[in-house]
Parts: sequence; structure tokens; C-alpha cells
Amino acid sequence: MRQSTLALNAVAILVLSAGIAATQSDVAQLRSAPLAENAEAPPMRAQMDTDLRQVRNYPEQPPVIPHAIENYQVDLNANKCLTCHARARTGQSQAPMVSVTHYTDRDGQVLGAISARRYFCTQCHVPQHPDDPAVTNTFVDIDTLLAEEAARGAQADD
Amino acid sequence: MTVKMTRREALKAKAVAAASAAAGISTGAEAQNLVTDREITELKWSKAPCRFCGTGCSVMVGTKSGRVVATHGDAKAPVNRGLNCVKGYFLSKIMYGGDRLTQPLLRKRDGEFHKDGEFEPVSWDEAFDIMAEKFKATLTEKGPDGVGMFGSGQWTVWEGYAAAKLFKAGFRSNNIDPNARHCMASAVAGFMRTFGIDEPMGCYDDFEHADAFVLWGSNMAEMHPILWTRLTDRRLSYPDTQVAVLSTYEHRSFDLADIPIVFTPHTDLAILNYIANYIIQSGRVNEEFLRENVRFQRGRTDIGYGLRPDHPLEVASVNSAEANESDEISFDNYAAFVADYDVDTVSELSGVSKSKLEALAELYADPDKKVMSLWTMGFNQHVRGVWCNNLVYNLHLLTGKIATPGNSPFSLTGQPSACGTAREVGTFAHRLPADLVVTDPEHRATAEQIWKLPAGTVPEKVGAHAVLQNRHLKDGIINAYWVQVNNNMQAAPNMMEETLPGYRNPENFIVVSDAYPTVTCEAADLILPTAMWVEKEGAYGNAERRTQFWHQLVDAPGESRSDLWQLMEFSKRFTTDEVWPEEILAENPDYRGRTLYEVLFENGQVNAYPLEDIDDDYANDEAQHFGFYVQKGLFEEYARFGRDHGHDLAPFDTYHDVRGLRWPVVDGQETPWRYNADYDPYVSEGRKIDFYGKPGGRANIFELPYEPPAEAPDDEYPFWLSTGRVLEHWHSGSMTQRVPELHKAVPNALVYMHPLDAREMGFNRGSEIRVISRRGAIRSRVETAGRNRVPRGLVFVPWFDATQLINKVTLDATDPISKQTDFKKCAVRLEAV
Amino acid sequence: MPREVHIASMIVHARPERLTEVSRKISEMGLEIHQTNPDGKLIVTQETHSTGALGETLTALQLLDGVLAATMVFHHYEPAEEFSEASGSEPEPREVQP
Repeated sequence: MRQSTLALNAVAILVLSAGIAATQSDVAQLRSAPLAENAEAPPMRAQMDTDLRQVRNYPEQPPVIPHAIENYQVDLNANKCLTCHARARTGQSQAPMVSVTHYTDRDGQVLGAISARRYFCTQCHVPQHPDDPAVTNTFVDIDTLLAEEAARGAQADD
Repeated sequence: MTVKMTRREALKAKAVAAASAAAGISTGAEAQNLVTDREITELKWSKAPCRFCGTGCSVMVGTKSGRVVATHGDAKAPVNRGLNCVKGYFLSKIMYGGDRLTQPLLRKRDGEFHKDGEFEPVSWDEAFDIMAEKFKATLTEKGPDGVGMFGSGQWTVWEGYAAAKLFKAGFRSNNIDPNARHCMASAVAGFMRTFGIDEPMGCYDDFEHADAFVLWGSNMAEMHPILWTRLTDRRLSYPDTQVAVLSTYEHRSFDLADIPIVFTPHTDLAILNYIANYIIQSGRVNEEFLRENVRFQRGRTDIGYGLRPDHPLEVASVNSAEANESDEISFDNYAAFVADYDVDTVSELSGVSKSKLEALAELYADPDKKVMSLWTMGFNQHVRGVWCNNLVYNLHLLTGKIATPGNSPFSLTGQPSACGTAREVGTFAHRLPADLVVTDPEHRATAEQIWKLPAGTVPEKVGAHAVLQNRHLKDGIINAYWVQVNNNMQAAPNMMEETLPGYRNPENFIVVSDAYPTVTCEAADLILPTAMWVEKEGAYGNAERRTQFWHQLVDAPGESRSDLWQLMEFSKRFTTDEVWPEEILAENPDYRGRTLYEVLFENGQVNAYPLEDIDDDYANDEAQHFGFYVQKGLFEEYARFGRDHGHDLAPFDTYHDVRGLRWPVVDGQETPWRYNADYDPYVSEGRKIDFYGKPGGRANIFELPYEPPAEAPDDEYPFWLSTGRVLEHWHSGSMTQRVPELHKAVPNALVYMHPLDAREMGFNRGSEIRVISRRGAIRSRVETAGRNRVPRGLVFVPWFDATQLINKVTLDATDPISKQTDFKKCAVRLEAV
Repeated sequence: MPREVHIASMIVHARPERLTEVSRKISEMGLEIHQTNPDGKLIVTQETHSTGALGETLTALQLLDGVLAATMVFHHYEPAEEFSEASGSEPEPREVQP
């Protein structure tokens, strides 16, 4: 069980046990057990396989992989990802085509095929597990930021 | 307010609401559905090096309204040309973890500091009050030996420099060591022993020139992904290129391997000597090169394991006191020595087939193949890590395949500024900037002169290194301790016996500066909220000697402040009268009664540059606070150590304009290949290759044997444990685990195990087990598939998971020369939970 | 008596400078305008008796001079008998909070 996030500018928290080993405080947010103890290891979950595209945080972000990729082979012999995502295969697979950005070499020259520097897809694209994030993130994307600004601006005009 | 409506009205209201939302029209407001006004949508883009690994990719950071909203790979950067790895692509989220620290926190009970108290928010004033009280009390009672600092290869250049000054010159203690001790110390000692100067002679351009790549215990596919893309590009575009990958288990880098090699842990030493033997026996030694550029040394053997002195292994070792010594020998001595490492013997010892060993050796021996050797933690986190570094240089020296494009023994760096800060600035227990050492009186005098301090200020006594600091905390020898930019409770070995009792020892006051509440913070007494990355102006130096700068782009949240601000503000709390000995003060009365801040940072050099020098487009909170361009002042003073001494840095302002420069930068020209007359201005007249760090320009080939590891599997603990990382998380995960997409990619650590081993033990994939050593245990889950395929008798566990602290299990054995821990080899047993 | 009741909402995007004129024409078509904004967007609802009628309305809107686009967003219909006025109390002046 993971603890929910607590804002630390609130007044102090916790149960405390005396003695060196059993220090317990809510400070280490990613961890529930006292340092000297070990909590149950969460069960392994399968990779999410919904095929539902996840909204990117900003345009240049490599999209996360919405399907399981266990045992997908990407090596000198074969690239399993391209069997669906290569341009020529997308008609049959209906998978999103590899981005055009993947067709340029190191010097910006456009190539006829996917650049070798992009060969190992999973260096940038990762699958997801259906896990709750341990800690929330307050990142705000540009559209939300602009909308908030516009709303603030509109209120100022009222 | 409840409204009674007819059904018709309710439906209409719903219809209107839907349409309003779709149209992006809110009640009365003039919001637009698609914002196209350029003035509003235009982001401010600025360059910065990535916050993560030692590759040192450059990114463009997009900010709007005081927040980072996007990043992308910098197309103009030679390192990465527009690419990032998955971690780099989420840089825009790393500062926004929901539990970001924003106020100092002190353990208190009944309104006062108490070691077992609960954390309460305090002001910076109160935080520094208690810190100063504790540090002064310790200095008075125990002297400089009683205080300590554990810093970081993630410090910016000027943060590390300020810390080094504060401790070495201010408190006069060499008990300052960086977490780079855990990752690069063996590489450093290897460089110093072989070449006399730290850091690679080649650069990343070697990737585009080599004919063969050999990865020694380095999983570049996951840990240096952008360099891997350059290697992949070379291999796939020029199919005659060959890639050999050596490790103790199969990992993602094996996907590109032409010669995949899994070897018994620790036998890399033997394989290296075998290759040297092969080169000699097959007559491919470059004799001319040896005649002009090489000397032969026999290094001390039987040097121990860096364990506590009363450990039986230490008691038994013969030469631990002179671990770094060597004697000069001849080529013939050396050849006779390596002759013992024949293919049959080494094949048997290492478990590698003879054909593979020969194929690997041939890559080095073939004079027409340019070879790039690449290594990181497999070699460095090794109880004979310095030897591994020396032995791989042997191969490049025997063949003359060095310091030319494509011929490159390349020590890869893990942290973004282990090179630029920890190593070059010298934030180690034995070092000063620019490879100077505290034990050399001339080096100390140089530092004192540049720092405008009295003779005798810089202490001679080598301080406590990382592992020793933890032992001293546990033993109560160090009592006031400051940790900055690292998560050592999670990172250091043998947590249950050393790190944890050390931090919680009631005699000790532990201060931790961090952006997030890590497990190290949990063990601390005082937590200081710290600014991150582009919340301050900074500089990092990557693995290819490229120093890169960035501006402050956004503000730090709440009351968090940069490490630099903290160090300098803290220095105001001390006067020379309080911390310098009477002998120095009596001889230098002008220094009496001055604060450390004055003598270290207001010395006419660090405060030489006015605020007007700051680029108008960018904020600079520290400079505004202190009243001068502090980063520039620190940098320019620091650069004096290296200019004209082979470590030349360009003028400060240049770095803000360019995508970094590789030192030495002489007359505006960077140096891609050192020691090579075509590129390096320091090469002596008349020489083609000149290893000018060593007498006569000759590098050292070392005769060094195979020696066994500190702890190997036995009947009671029958498995090897190797620890390491995964692509999606960096180091202890304090940043990446707070990005939901990265956390969800790999939420927890796993125990990678061979399926037959699992079956024999009665485990299934996903079973919960305990991993137990003589020192501690964790709970985790079995993985028999996935990205790593381990051999029988070995398990691999990554260390990014705060809930599964694998360093409870590891052993604090180190290389006796480098003092770097061997995180790759200890013995464990496995039990179902 | 109509057998079905259809309630639909549409977004009409008019040229901003023709907004007043377009609004008048839409009202003359028997449609209700709920909101407009200076960019020329209008939120319009129609209550009618068949899908065919809705389709004709959309076409007519699109053909109006000064209209850039008309899009249907929400459409609800049900048999007239079930569409009773009795599920609420007497209609009162009220605000609609979108």
C-alpha cells in the first residue's frame, strides 16, 4: 500500500519509535516502511494493453506504448516494432506510422528508410503498467497554462 | 443552488453545456478553442545539458509563465543532435513532483532539536543556527577530523568548487568526498597510474570512426542510450563493423552484439591478460610505439579489499598499505607474466569458449581494426577496478591503438558532472582542482596562492572517503555531516551495518540538502530544500571533457535554495578565529576575525564580476542575493588551476554561447584527441604521441594478475548478486520515480533470475522472495524473463527502488587503491516469503 | 401531434463582423441562441420532431451568408408520450449554469 502524498509545508506528521533502526517518518514519500524494515513487494503487473493512445505532455514527447511488448525482439536480426509501425505496413496494421522525425540522420539529412540511430525503439518509447503513480506530479502543460492565463485575463477585464 | 427545471429545460441545459465545452467557450469569458496568437503561444527556448547521465546530451527547454512546459533534444548539440532517451524526454516533469521540499525541516521535540524528534518546518535562519552550533561544537571538540561532507557528481562546477573551498580551506578538513567515489574513482586512479592525468584522451567522435567496439561490463543500451545510438548507427550503416559485448549476464546491449560474451564474475581480469598475451604471441605488438611511448610496471598484488581493518581478509593481505605502488620492469618480464594467461586456462576460469576469446582478442590484435573499448561500472565498481582500467589500457598501448580517431579506450562516466565537478574540481578526500593532491606540498601551496590564503591553510592529511565516512559516522568519529545532491542511504553499500546506524548515531548531526524527501532525508536530522537543474545557473562536464553551461530559467519553489547559496550563506556563520589554528592566525594577523565568507568568497576574485555582466534575458537568484556574479567569479578563479597546465578552460562567457567545449581549450580551440600532436597543443615538439602526464611522455603498461573477489558464492549463500540500473530510472530514482510515465514504465525493482534456478527453488515468475546476505535482506519479486537474461547461479537487482533497498544486502568491500565499492559481486541466498 | 421530441445543440461559427446579422437570421428560423462570443461562435438549440428536420436545419445554417460552419454537438430524442412536463415543478425563472 502506498501512502498518498502529503504536502510538507503542513505541520509535522508521524509516529515515531525510539531507537536507531526503526526511524519512521512520513518524509520519504516513495516508501511506506521504516528504513530498517521491508514491506511486502507489490505484485508484478502485466504491461497495459489497451491500445488507447495517451495524451502527450508536450508535442515532442515520444508517445508511451499503449500495448504490451513482452518478448518483442529488437536486435541485429529483427525489429518487431517495425512489423506494424513501418510506413509500408501501416495499411495492414493500422498502427501509427513511425514519426517522420525518425527518417533523418545525425546531420539532418532525410533518408529513404528509418535512420539507424533510431533503431532501438525502447530507448525512447516505453510501455506502462497499471500502477498508481507513487507521487503526484504538478507539471502543467502549455494548453492548460494558456487557458488559465486567458481566464485570468478575462476576469481582469470583467 | 438547486434549480427546479422541467425535463425540457434540463435537456436543453445539457445540450448547451456540451456545446459550450466543445466550443471552448466558458460563461462570459473570451477564451478561445485554439490559441494561435503568437505572442501568447511563443515559448522561450534555452539550452541546457540534460540532468541525468554522463553522456551530457543537450536539450532545449521551453518555458512559459515561469514554468517548464516542454523540452526536446538540442539539434545543434554535437553530442546528441536532437535525440534524447526516454528520461531526457521527461525532463520537463522532474521538478514538479508533488512532494517537492519547500521548507527546511528540523527534528524537534518540545520545541527544540532532538535526534528522535519529528520533522517540523523551520526558517533558514534557525536551520543555519543549529547547523553552525553543531559544526562549531564538533570542530572545537574533535577538530577538522570530526566534520564531513558527502557531495556529488551532480553538483554544478561552482557548487563543487565552493564546497571544496569551504571544507578544505575553511574548516581545514579533507573529509569531503563525492558520490563519484562510488562510480568513477577506479577510473580516475586508473588514469593517474597509466597516464598521470585524469579523463579520456579520445572523445565521442570516436564512435563515427571505430571498426570495432568492445563493451566491458557496460550496458550502454540502457545506461548511455544516446551514445548507443551513435554506436548503433555506425554498426548498422557500416556492416563490417563489429560489436563485442561482455558482461556477467545478458542485457539489452547484447541485442547488437556480434560477439556476445557472458563471463564468470571477476574474471574480466583474466580475459584482459589473455588478450595481451594473444597480441604478444601472435606478433602484433607495435614495437615502435612501445619504444617511444611506454614504460612497464609491476603493480603490487595481494592488496586487500578495503574492508574494516579487523576483517580477516584485510588482516591476511600483505600489501594493502602500499596498494598503489609499483616497480619498473621490462617488456620481457611482462610478456613472460601474461604467458600464463593462455586460452585454455582463461576459458576454464571465465566460462567463455575459446573461439569467442580468440575472436575478441583478434579485434585488438588486428592492426587494421580501429578499436573503441567502452566501460563503466563493471570495471569501476570492482575490488580490482583500478587494475581493470590499467589492463584495458595495456591492450591499446601494446598495439598503439590510442589517441587517434576511432582508437579509443573510453571510460564512460555515469553522472552528469562526475568529470566536470567531482574530478576536475577535485572534491575528493585526497584532491585539489586540476588533478592536484593534498599530499603534495607544492600542490597545496598552489591552492593557497590562488585562493589568497595563508601558507598551511590547506590540510595535508587525506580525509575520509565515502565508505570510510560511513564507518566514521557509525564509530562516532565524524559527528557533524552534510550531504548534498545524493541519496547515499540508498546508494552506499551495507546499509544495515554501516550507513543507517551511522546516520542515526545519537552523537551525530546529519544535514541533507535535497529537492525531494528521499530515504537519506528520512535518516537525517535537518533537511534543507534545494533548487534543481534550471532553477539556478549551472555548468556540468560530461564524459568527453565537454563543459556545458545553462542559465537559470525558472524560479525554485517555496523557500528552496541552491546548494551554492546554502554553502556560501553557511560560511558567513564562521570566523577564522573559530576554526583556524592560532599558529596560522598569529602569523597572518590580517586574517583574524574575518568570516569564512569574506576570506573564501569576498577575496577580490570570486566577487570580481558585477551583476551587469549577467545576461539580461535570464534571472540569477544567487548573484542577486550576494551582490556579484558569483558563478563567474568562482569559475574564473577555479580555471586558474588548469590553464597552462593541460586542463585549460575557455573564458566563462564563451560557454553560455556554445554547445560546450572539450578541454584543454587553448586559444579558443577545443581538443578532441589529447596526447596527439595533430590536435593537442601540449604535445612536446617533435613527438607524434606524447603522454605528457608522465615522465618522458611515457604511459605505463601494468603487470597485474587475476585475484579473487571479496565474497563469492558458497554453500550457505549460493548465488552471485549483481546490482545495477534500468533505462527508465536514473540512479536512486529520486527524480524519475516522480514522473508518472517513468514510474509506470518500471514501477519496482525485480530479482532477475534464471528460470531453471527459479524452478529448482520452487519459485514462479512473480513470486515474492527475500534476497539475503550476511548483512541484510530485502523483499522483491522474481523475474525470469524481461530485459535481462542471467546465467544460472546469479541474480541481478537494480537499485532505483526506494521500497527495495538492495544496498542492505551488498558488501562494503572496495578497491584498495580507489576506495570504490564493488557493487557487482557478493553472495546471497534466496527464500520464499 | 408529433410522435417524437428531438432536442439538439449546435455550434455555429460565423464571421465575427457578421455576428449580429447572423444571429437575427438564426432567430427568424425559430432557433434559440444561448451564447455568443466575439470570435463569432454561437451556441444554438433546436427542439423539433424528427432527425430529418434537424438535418435540414443544419444545412440551412451552413448555407446562411456569413456562416463559416455549423456543427451538431448534442442530440437527444424520445417518444413524445414519455416526454412529460411533470418531472419537475412549475417552470421558474432560473439560470442555466453550463
